[in-house]
Amino acid sequence: MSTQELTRRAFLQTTGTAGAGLVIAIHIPFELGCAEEVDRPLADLTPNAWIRVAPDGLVHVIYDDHEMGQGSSTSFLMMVCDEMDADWSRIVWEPVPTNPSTWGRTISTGGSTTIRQGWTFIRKAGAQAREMLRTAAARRWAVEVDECVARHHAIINESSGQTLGYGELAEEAGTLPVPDDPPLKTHAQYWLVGRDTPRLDLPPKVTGKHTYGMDLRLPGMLFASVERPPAFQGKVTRFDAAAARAVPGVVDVVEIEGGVAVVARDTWSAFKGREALKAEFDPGPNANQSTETLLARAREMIQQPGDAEKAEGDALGAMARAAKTVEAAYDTPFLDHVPMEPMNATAWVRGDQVEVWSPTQAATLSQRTAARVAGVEPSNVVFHSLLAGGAFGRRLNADDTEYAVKVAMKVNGPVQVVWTREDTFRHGFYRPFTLQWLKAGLDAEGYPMAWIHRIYGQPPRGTTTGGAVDHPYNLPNFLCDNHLEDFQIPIGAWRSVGNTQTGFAVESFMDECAHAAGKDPFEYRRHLMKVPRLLRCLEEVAERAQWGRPMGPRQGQGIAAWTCFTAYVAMVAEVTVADDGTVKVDRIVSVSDHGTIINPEAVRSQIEGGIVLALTATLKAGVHIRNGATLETNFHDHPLLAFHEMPTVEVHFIPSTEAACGVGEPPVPPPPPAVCNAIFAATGVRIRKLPIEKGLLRVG
Amino acid sequence: MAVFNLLVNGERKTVDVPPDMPLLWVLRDHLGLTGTKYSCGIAFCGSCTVHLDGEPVRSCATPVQSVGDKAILTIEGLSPDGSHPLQKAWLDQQTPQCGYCHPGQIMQAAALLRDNPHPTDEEIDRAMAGLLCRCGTYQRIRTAIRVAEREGVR
Repeated sequence: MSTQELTRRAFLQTTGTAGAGLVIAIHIPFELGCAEEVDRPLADLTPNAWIRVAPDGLVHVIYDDHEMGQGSSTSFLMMVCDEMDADWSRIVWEPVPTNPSTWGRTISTGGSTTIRQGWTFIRKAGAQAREMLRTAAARRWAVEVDECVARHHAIINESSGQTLGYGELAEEAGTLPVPDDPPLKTHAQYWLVGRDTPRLDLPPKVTGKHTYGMDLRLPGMLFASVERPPAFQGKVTRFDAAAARAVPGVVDVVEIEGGVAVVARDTWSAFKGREALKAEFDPGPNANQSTETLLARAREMIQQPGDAEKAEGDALGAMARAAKTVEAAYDTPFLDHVPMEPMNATAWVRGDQVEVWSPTQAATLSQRTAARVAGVEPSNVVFHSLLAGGAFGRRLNADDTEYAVKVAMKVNGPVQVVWTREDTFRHGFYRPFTLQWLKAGLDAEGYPMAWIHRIYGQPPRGTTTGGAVDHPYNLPNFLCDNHLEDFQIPIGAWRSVGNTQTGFAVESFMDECAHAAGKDPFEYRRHLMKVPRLLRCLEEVAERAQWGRPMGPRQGQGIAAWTCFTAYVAMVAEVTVADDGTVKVDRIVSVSDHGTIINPEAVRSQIEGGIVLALTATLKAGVHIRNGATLETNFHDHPLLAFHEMPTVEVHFIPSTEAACGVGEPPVPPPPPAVCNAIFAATGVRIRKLPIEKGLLRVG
Repeated sequence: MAVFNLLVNGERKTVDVPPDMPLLWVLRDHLGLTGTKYSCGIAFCGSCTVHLDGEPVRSCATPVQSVGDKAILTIEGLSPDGSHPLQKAWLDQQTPQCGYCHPGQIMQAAALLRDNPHPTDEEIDRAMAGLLCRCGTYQRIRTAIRVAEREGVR
């Protein structure tokens, strides 16, 4: 059997699609992702992405990354379209596959990986398709391949002027061998990559027709709301099922592992029924846990050396010889992702067959979770990934599916389990709380000759300390050590993961060192910077923001730079601090290097969005623990940055022909330190705890 | 339970629901109009914004019994085909990211421009301050409102 026949066979088996036409199979490895890899041998190159040119001329792109509003689907398809010289209107964006258990890798979208992986793998597949179409045309016309040019969804015979459309050539091209090493386009040949292109996911989002998880409607569907103990280790001890059943619209009250579900004919009745339960709880072993107790423990531990994560040179020895030492501790809270669409999933259990619909980032984990809960094989679970109303890492967890299946096992027919906003806040997987202590020994010129960064937090290490040892500076005699203790609060990946807190600490402390040395914070960083691409961003942002320009009273500029997920970002923030301590961020100038940018408008959106997410964490809110439970419950006690608080954001990119880099996460770390450094410039007050307590900044 | 005759997007609809049920859930779960979104349930985010006789209201905090004869307009009824100047401007500016809050944002902005065709920045701030967006699209929303303003909104 030829390679192409094998490819067609695998395509049919994996996608269940009638595979006529030209099919290109791609294996994209999972190595860049952030969730666990399924137990698959590395040598298994089972395809997990496909380009299919159908005889009708439509080019179907099948791949497995979730769209959550980050716009990566459009950019992914743009790479295919450009490399194939296809017609953009004839590229078809296919849904995430519904059979994760037989898919060729873990389906999980995170780590700013979609475009990076596409850059490496999908462009080549697009080039393979183009070359096969050219070859097919050359055979048809009995001419040399060199005479056949791909242009606008057709192959043109340059000498005769004849043309054959991609659809006309698809079957024939599909019988040809797939070239191993097709020529990839140069940047000068791109006509779509690098141009602002309207996103494919947007039109139904302005008409209300976009189906988010919570918008799924199935015939006979019921709705459920689950009462769970507010404390993470708590239990429900008593509830009044009769009172809940008496609520109009309530259909049933069912006990499930971890809570009590009220099932109703609509969402509101489920919520009302839940109130009527008047459930009582045993808060469990961590009933006295609070942000204060965690912080007290952190303050105690941070004074002791921890487990070394990285040690270079002799930090302690050099510290003892330093001309001057600087030290500071930074306190960052748990953070909830706060997707605007509360958590939800819909499940239908029919015997040993399970069907789930969820707006997830993690189809494979969700399918396995559904199978585990229902006690069936993953292949018995059909899993529909719906588009998500925000995710930011929250939907890498499958608790929505877990609860939906638990309820569905006790209900006839499909049931949509809806988290209230309060549930969504209280049962999160938070960005971890950390206390970070830094100490630098400065040499006679004021530059660090010793650097210790100690982090107290919760395992796993990467989620808590990620980024600390990947700082972009020349720091001889460096030590990063940690105290990681499992205090049993659910944590998870929050957009940019560990970099959100380590970037804040390092870039705030770098400012403290600069001031201690009597040097300009921009020039200080410039002197120490070891990453050329980030240095360029830093220099350009200083120029574009007119670093050092005169500012009014209680106004200031602050600068910060960070690299993560292979991209480089520098920002300058300008703030005005009111006499009552209110901080207004007036302007943020961002300069970033993402390598080749596929869809600039979409990347600008991601930078703007990353800044706003980070400003909420800086200025507005965090998650705090009291009595072993999350204190914040809704937007009244966890405000988000609002419309009228939006600074002017100016986004600039370093032009580049390097490989495409991460986009979604890299803009999140710089704003908090840039703003706090600006506040120091404006007021002389150093902020070391987020969110900012405005009482520290009040005058008079 | 009680029967209510509602005027939704120009059509008469009858529902049999508890009188205190918020309009949001009547629209979403009983009339299949899922364009109006649930996000906070306490009128703190604006994702559920619809018009009642042209006035923007938070449907999550509007009991159905308080609606009476007022005309309800949801995102599905703003234009037949997505051609309202704000919907066009929203796409022109590539405004949404996840998009979840945007039906509410658009409905709020539609009421603003109809009543005040040329608002100042401060008036836009006042009108839009109660609508939260986690993806951070505020700057684009402002620009999109300005683009729609040039076309004119009735």
